[in-house]
This record gives sequence, C-alpha cells and structure tokens, in this order.
Amino acid sequence: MFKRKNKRKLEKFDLVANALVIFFAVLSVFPLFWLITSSFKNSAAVVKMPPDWIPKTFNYVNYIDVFNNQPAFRWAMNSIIVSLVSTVALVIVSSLAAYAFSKLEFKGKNVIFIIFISSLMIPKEVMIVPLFRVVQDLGMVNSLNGMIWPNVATAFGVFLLKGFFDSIPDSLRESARMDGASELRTFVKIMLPIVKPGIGALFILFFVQVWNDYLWQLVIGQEENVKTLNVGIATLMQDLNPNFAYKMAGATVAAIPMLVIFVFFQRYFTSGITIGAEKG
Amino acid sequence: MLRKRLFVVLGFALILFILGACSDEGSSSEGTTDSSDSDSSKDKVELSLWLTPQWKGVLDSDEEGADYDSFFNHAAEKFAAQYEEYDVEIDVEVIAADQRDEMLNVNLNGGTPPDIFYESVFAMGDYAHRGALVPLNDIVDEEAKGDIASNYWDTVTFGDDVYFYPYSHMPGTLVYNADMFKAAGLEDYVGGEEEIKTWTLDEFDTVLNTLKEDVPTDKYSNAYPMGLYALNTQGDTWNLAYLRMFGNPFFDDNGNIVLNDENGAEAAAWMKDINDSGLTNPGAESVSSNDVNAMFQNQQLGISFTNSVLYNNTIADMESGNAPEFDARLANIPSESGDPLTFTYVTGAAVFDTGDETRIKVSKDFVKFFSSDPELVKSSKNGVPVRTSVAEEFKDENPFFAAYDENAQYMFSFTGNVPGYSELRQVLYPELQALYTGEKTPEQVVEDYQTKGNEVIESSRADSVIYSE
Amino acid sequence: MKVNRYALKRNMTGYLFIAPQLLFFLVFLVYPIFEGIRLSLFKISYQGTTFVGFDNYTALFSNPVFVKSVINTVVFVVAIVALTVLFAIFVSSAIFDKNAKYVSFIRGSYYIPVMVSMVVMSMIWGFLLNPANGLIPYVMRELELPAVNFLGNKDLVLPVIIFVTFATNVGQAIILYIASMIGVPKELFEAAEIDGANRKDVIFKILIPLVKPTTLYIIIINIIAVLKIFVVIQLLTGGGPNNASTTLMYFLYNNAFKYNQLGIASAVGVIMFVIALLLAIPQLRTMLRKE
Repeated sequence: MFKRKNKRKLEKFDLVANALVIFFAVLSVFPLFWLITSSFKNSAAVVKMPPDWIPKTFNYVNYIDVFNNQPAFRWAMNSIIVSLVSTVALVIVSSLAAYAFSKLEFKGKNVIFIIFISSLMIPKEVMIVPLFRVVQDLGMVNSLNGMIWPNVATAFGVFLLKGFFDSIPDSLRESARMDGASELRTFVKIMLPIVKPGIGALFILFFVQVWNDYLWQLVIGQEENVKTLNVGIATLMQDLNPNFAYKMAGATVAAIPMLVIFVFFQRYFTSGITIGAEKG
Repeated sequence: MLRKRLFVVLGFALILFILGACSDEGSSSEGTTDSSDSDSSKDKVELSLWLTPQWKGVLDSDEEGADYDSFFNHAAEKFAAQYEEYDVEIDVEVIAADQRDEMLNVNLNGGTPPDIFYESVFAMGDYAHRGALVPLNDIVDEEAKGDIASNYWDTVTFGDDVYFYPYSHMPGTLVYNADMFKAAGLEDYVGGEEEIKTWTLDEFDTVLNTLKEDVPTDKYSNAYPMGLYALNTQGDTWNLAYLRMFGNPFFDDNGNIVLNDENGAEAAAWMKDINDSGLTNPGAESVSSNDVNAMFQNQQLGISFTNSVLYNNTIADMESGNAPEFDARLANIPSESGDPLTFTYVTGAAVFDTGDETRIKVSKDFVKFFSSDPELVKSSKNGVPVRTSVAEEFKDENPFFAAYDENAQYMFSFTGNVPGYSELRQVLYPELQALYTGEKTPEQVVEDYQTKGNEVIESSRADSVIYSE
Repeated sequence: MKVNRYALKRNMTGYLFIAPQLLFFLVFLVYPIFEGIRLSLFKISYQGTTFVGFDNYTALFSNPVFVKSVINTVVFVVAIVALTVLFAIFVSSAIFDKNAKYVSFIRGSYYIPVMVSMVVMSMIWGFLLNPANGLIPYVMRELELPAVNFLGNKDLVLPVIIFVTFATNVGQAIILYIASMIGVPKELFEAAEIDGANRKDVIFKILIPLVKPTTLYIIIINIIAVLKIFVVIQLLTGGGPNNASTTLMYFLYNNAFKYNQLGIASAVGVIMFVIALLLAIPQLRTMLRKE
C-alpha cells in the first residue's frame, strides 16, 4: 500500500535529483544572461567588481556601434543565405537519392550506398586542405558559394531520409506507376508528401549545423563582406576597442538569431532532433 | 499545404541565393577587366589593397567617419583622378593583424594575392624571402632617397632590393597612467607631458612596487601595476625588448639567436618575478596584448605598452568617450645599463607578384604616388614620418617627434633581419607561457627558445629566394 | 532484348536520381580524400611541390606538439563523451515522467547554449574566465580560494575546456534521451513498481537498458563532434599555455593556414581521417546489418 503513496509523493532520491537538475539548468543559462546584461553596461561598469547583476544603465550605444562599425547586418544575411541555400539544396538532392536507394533498383546500388554511408563519420574539416584547393579551383574562395556547396556533399540527408522512404509500402509506388505516372512524378506527388516529417527534421538539423559551421566559413570568407555572423563576431573579439561591453554586444548579436529561431520553433526542434536519432 | 509552404521556402531561398550570387560576383572578379565600362577611353584596372589597422582618418582621427581605410580610399581617389594610363579602381580592405598570415597564405597558394599590402615591414619580410613580392627599386628616386634617412632604407632592403616603400614608422615605448602614479604618491617619477620618461631599472622596480601597495583601491578597483602578456604573437616586440633588459644582444653577427646566456636568463627571470610577485596583471600566459591595452584604457593598469599610433588611438578613444579620460604619458623601456631600449616599426607598402604586368605596374605607380605626393605624405604624421621634410613640418604640432628623434640612438633591430621571422614569432610565446606557468625555469626557457628559434632560422634560410640568389 | 532495354532504363532512372547527390559527394568529399593522401606525401612551398615520401609523417611523430595534440584530442573525446552521456541520463531520467511544462522548461534551459553555439559560448566563457577582469576569478578571490588562472594553468586548462564543451553541448543529448524515455511504455514502470522496485531500480534496470540505441547514437555523434574540436581552442586558449591545450584540428589549421605547411597539414588530415574511419567501423557494421 505504501508503495502507492510513494508514487504520489516524490521519493527523496527523485527530489534531490530534480533539485540538482534545476540548479544546473539555471547555471547553464546564466552565462547568456550575464552576457546580455553586461552588453548594456558601459565600459567601466563591465569590469567593475562586484558586478551589477542588473545593469544600472540601459546603454544600447554598444549595439549601435556594432552595426555601425561592422557590416553586422550583412554578416547575418550571409549566415541566413548560406544556411538556407545549403539546406534547401541538400533536401532536394538527398531526397532524390534516398528515394532511389530505398525504392529503385539499379546496378551497384548496394555498393554505392555502403560507400556513401561510410562517409557519414568523416567530418569534412579533416580534408580541409584539399577541399580548400577544390573550392579554389572552382573560383569559390571568398564567396558564399564556397561556403554552401561543399555542405551538400554530406551523406547525412540520404541517411536520414532513407528510413522514411523505407517505411512507405512498395505497393503505393507500384500503383502510381501503373496509373502511368513517371518516376519523377511519383516521387514528387506521392512520396515527398509522405516523408514530410523527415524533410522537416532534416531541414532543422542541417540548418543549425550549417549555421554553426565556423571553421569552414572562417577559412572561406575572408573579406569583411563575405563573413558569416559567427566568424565576423569572432574577429570582433580581437578588435583593439577597449570597450568590453561593445564586444559583449557583438556576441549577443551573434546569439540572437538562433535564440529567436529556437523560441519560435522549439516544438519542431525537439521533434526534428528526435526523429533524426530514431531513423538513424 | 505542405507543398505550398515548401514552395514558398524554396522560392525564398532561391531568391536569396541569386541575390547572394550576384553580390559575390562584385567581390570575386577583381583583376584586369575589359573596357566595357562607361569610361571607354581608358582600360579599367581594379586593384586590391590590404592593410592592417594603422591610423584612422585621412589626416586626423577626429575627422567625420574616420576609419582605418579612410586614407587609402582618399589616396585612391586622388590617384585615379590624375592617372592617365588606366581607369583605376582600388578596393581597400582592412585585415585583422592576427589574420594576416592566414589570409596571405591562402591567397598566395590560390594565386590571388592582393596587389598591395600596407603593413609593418617586420611582419612582411618573409614574403620577400618567399619570392612573393616584387622589388620596388625602380620607383625609388633620388628625391626619396634624400628625404628618407638611410636606416629606414636598410630596414626595407632584402638582399640588394627594396621591397617596401617606407612611409611612416611607429616607435614602441611604454605608456603610463600619470593620474594613477600621482594617486600612489609617485609624483617624482612622472615625466613631462611631452617627454618620453626614462627610468633606471631600480626606479622602475620602485614604481611597480609602489603602485602595487599605494594605488587607492576605491578609485582604481581591480588595478595592477604593469601589463604583461604572452597569449600569442601580438605585441611580442615588447617581450623581445624585456629579454634584452640585462644586456643580451639577442642576435649574433651571423643572424643566429644568442639569448642563452646569463643576461638572457636574468631577463627571463625578471619577467617571471614581476609576474609572480603581483606586479603585473594576473595570468600573463593567457592574456593577449589587446586585453592588456584594453585594461590600460580602462585604468586597470599603471604601465602598459604602446607605439606612436596606438598612443594616438588611446587619446582619441578618450576624447570620443569610448574610454575613460585620464593623463596617459610615455616612458621608455628601462634597462640595467640605464640606457633605454627602443625600437620602431617601419611601415610601408609592398607590391605582390600577381603575375599580371599591368596590375604590378599600376600598383607600383600607386605606391609611389601615395608615398611621395606632398599632400598625402602628410598623413604619415599619424605615426612618425620617415620623411625628414614632413617631420620638420609637423614638429611643432607633435612635440614627440623630437623626443622620438632623441631616442633613435638607443634603437635595436628586433628582427635582426633574419629569414623566417613570422615563424620565429610562433616559437616565443609558448616558451613565455611555460615560463609564467612555472613549467620551465628561466634558464630552460632561454635555452629552448634559442634552440627552436635557430632551427627556424636555419630552415628558412634554406628556403629563402634572397639567400639562394 | 526487351528485358535488357527495360533493365537499362531502370538503371538509368536510378542513376539519374542519385546523380546530383553523387556529384557533390565525388567533388567535395571523395576527390579531396584522395587528393589529401597525395598531398601528404609532398612538401609544398610557394616555389613548388617536391615529393618527399613519408617525411611529413615522420616529422609529425617526432613533433612533440603533434603528439600532444593527439593525446589531448583523445582525452577530450573520452572525457566529453562520458560526461555528456552520464549527465544527460541523469537529467533526463529525473524529469522525463514529470509535468510537460516542467520538462519543456528544463529541456529549453539546457538546449539554449547548444543553439547559441560553441562560438558565442566560447566568447562568453572567455570573458567569464579572463584572469584579470573575469567574474569567475573574482568570485574565487572573494571566497579566498587560491588564485588560479583557469586558462593559463596546464593542469587546469584541459578540464576547463572539457567542461565548457560539455556544458555547451549536453542539451542535445538531453533532448534525445527525454524523447526516448518518454517513449518507453508506462506499463513497464507500473509493473516494476508493483514488484516493489524503487525509482533507482527503475532507472538503472529498465530505463537505461531500454534507451541503449539512443546512447549509441549520442556517443557516435559526440565522438565525431569532439574529434574536430576547434572553436573553443581558438577562441579560449589559442592552444596554450605552451601548447598544453592544442588539438589535432587546431594543429591542422595552424599548419595549413598559419605556417603554410600544406603537406604537413594534409598528413594530419589523413591521420584524422583514419582515426574517424576506425571509430566509425563498429557503428557502420550495426547500421549496415540493419539494412
């Protein structure tokens, strides 16, 4: 009987665990909180110890400076373009390929697929020197193109989407083909709508991945105008400007877009990430 | 529903991308282009000029919208207006100093170096050794040779050829917070406003210790006597100067490092000692010179490093309200002998070998133009002008020119003109980090630095085009 | 004849569908791998390219900084992956059966640093840990703890980087575990409770074994992520003090883009490629078996 009681109340073990979980959760948001509050201080207040936890001044000049001194808006646009185009391109090519690997029959299919999937564990960064030369030969250094297209080489999309296509019964495709629909038409009209959750998951996961693809974007985007937000803001940290709050405002600017995306799409994130893991 | 949304997203992405691709074109298509533009009488030449942050504004940093590229944009306009052979457009790009080598390596390997690079000569000498620069002998005329003292020409000459057109130089010194000195009762040690104060090493120790004890904490919270750093190569010339404090000559006549002696070890021990006894900011091993500079500007340091341009920027930051205002004055790096240690960064433009004769020619013409045009050379007063005529003209406006001139006799050559200097710089800071963290003794540090440094010099000498000729 | 034409058409359709993806794959992944292996056998300088055989590799293994990079990278992979898995299991098992709002609050809090990204989080930690101005050294002084420089102490710098990386990335593992644990049928817990199992037993005997596939997935993605650890090193320590915190990726980057040693950098890339492949093989086996 007392077991039932136990179920109603939290066990002590559970209570302690949850207290810790909450404590660490607060701790994990704290650095960001501190960053954002500091960014509104003036230079002297930032280095003041003990700090003012809530800034005494609401000094948004730092933000104006970030946008005035740097092409920060351009950087943000670059990040959006690079992430969006990479993701859309990957969704298109990998859904085609995943469909082929799942539903079509052709010579060498399994071998190609195995080679393909084997590459999944190889981060493109390890081949950064030859990859850079390829991009250089294509004349894409110092351009958004150079940041975008190498992303589309990943097998990640095929890997994720193939599971979705696998779960569609073959009969569906066959009946569509019977009705005289071409392979492409079957794919677009019948198959794609069914794998919509998979595409959503791929979209979200890959978008964030490309957004945070710091090293490659650092190497490719050299001039001010082709930098992405993360890379641009990171160089700002080395600026000779003595105002710490200015740098913090910069870091906040780099944090905001993803925070906004997360707040608005939290539900999709959670499901997207989970689907990614389950199908993988 | 899904399809509709998908199409909207796809369409949006496509539009964005096309926009992106279009604007890319503008930046990637540098080089000689066809004469299809409006001005059909002259061929169009597009040049790229890179520089690391030097001075803000065309002539003065208090100009409206003054920035690091103002001068070169202005010079480019003026050049284009009077240039007869081509329709010239110069794209000016400011490069963070700590990214210079990455960017140059990448672009050199890809065959897309900038046409012109304006920077301190010491940081660019390796590119001359590597054969990436073109000699500028043909644009140096007798007038220039007469106006610019021979020691500056020595700095920019590698082998037999001139690779940089000297424009200005920036003597490196220390800077101190005179207000903080006075607050600590150090009035006697404060020099004049227009003086570069020279302390003996003993006096310097007194200053540091007094600052540590007597700076009122209510007025200067979280403040330290002196700035010290070793995170990376930034500002390493001051560290090189400290290592010479006890009389070590650093390089021998053959261009090899000879730091490993008693004097070298004593200097290293001194650096370690001021760090350990709280006379410097904590954590020198993980602090960069930029951090130190920011701390000084926020009144957290009594003494810091500076050069003539950095000093001007510091004053400008105070005037613009970007940093708190206080009385910042200059001092020399002291030494045991009592003579100050001074060095200078000669800055000037170099022209890269792009393989395109036209662009090289126009680049040279532009370099000669801004380095000798009577109006444009005046901007060299933001550093210290290498031209005697300009220094004379501005000596009333800038009283430091005389003080710097007086210092010139104590000047040491910090690069020793050795090949592989950039790589050599990469060897120093890890050793200093090992020194400050106590991982190595001062003796080990100077020994290891000498061994590794000489290896670098050795292998770079073998690769140098200048030595192999 | 007819059959053949049909087979041909069938093959062509398949090839056409995979062609776009394959094209990107070949140009930006397969070719660079072979090119990387080739480049690693050359000394590449501005003047030209000379074949040097395995010189780059021998040079690497006698370079103490490279050896340090290998060791550090291994330490990071093991420590960060272990910490991430343990802490994520701890958090998710504590909250998965609670009120949905509470779960989403906790999940969000841990996930925010992931979204904000390693780049920004590294900058923030850089500010917090700055030995002169940082909040953390200040708190240490106030508590009269010994003054240590977290980023400048060769014994502390690795734990600090491990912590920063772990604290930034653990949110992803937590999301995965929570989803996976919520998916476990409630009947199993009820049955266990009737048998008199307490919460600890439920977690260790039922929950953790059941989410094993998730654990595997988390381990794999984290190994790959940590193997290429770079941002936090570049922005926090610059590999210091005295190369104590250098990693393979950082070493590769410096050689490729700072020191202009493209041959050496390619050799490091090949070594990292082999390591990644070795780590991937067990996972690949399970994956392909599933096919």
